Amino acid sequence: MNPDALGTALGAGAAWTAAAVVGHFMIFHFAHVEHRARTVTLLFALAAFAALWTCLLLDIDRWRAVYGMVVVACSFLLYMPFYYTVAASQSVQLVIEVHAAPHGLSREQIQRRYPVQETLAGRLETLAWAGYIVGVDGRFALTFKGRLVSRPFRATKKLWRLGPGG
Amino acid sequence: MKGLLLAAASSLLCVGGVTVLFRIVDVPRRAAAMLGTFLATVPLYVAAYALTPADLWLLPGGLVESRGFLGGAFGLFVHAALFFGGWLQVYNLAERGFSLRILIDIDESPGRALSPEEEEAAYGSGRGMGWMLDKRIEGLLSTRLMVERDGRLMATDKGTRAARVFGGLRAFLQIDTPQ
Repeated sequence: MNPDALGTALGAGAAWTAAAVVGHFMIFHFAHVEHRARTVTLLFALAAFAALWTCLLLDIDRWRAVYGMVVVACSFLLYMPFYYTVAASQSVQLVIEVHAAPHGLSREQIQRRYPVQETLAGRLETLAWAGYIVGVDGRFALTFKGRLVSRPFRATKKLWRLGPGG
Repeated sequence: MKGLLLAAASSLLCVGGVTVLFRIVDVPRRAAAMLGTFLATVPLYVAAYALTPADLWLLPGGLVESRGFLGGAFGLFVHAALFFGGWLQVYNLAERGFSLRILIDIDESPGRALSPEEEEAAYGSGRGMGWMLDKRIEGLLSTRLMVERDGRLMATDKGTRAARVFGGLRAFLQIDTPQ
């Protein structure tokens, strides 16, 4: 066994993670990406397999080769929340808009910029498009996929005694 | 492998500690309490790694690391990733997730179906959609990213820096609207 197998495997994982991040920035900057989250996930999946392939090519034993994939997987776990904060956080959007307004914004102006009905309609449309809810007679019901997400979180909220959230 | 096993054990210990804490104490700043619990498990992980044999009394020779420091650092990275990318995100989603709140409202409604108007009123266990925006504004005020002066919300220096960094990233990544 190569005595530095662990270092090589972890290095391969780190290098391919860096490649995935650079790829993400380049693709999103130069191309119009419709399925953004899916694209980032795909990039990291490719990086994980590339790390495995690199390790096997360098005669690293299978266990340590998997460690290279674990590095990519853990980096993905850390990267996605960061990406979603940049891309979808309403709080971040608010800070950007308040900063952009020369004299700040009043609460009423903010409420006008985020009309409740339009915000809700947009999110319901997204949830329906993603297959979490389905429209039935003017109402929305959960699909199986929606229940699969809702139930564990309901249980977690109950277990941790969290507030209503949202 | 020792680092991975100890990281998994530390992660379970962390979430167990968080669960006990949340169930027996009314915690006002839950995310900070979770972070404190995680940080408390870090020295435990380091001590367990330093004080146990390389084979953990059970690992075959092929899974024992000759470079103990690197194996320990790898385990610590996994432990941190499981916390910051896993448990803390579960909490954030459960506590702040807009879409998730909608799904839960529909699931908890008597007929298990809601119209947009009913959801608008039912949002956040009956607090209504207006509450969501207020909650985010209060969050930005409490973290001092914004201040309220004469009825107007202004970005602080910290908020200005955040707006520049996130605005720059959004512009570079061509992100116009939340997805």
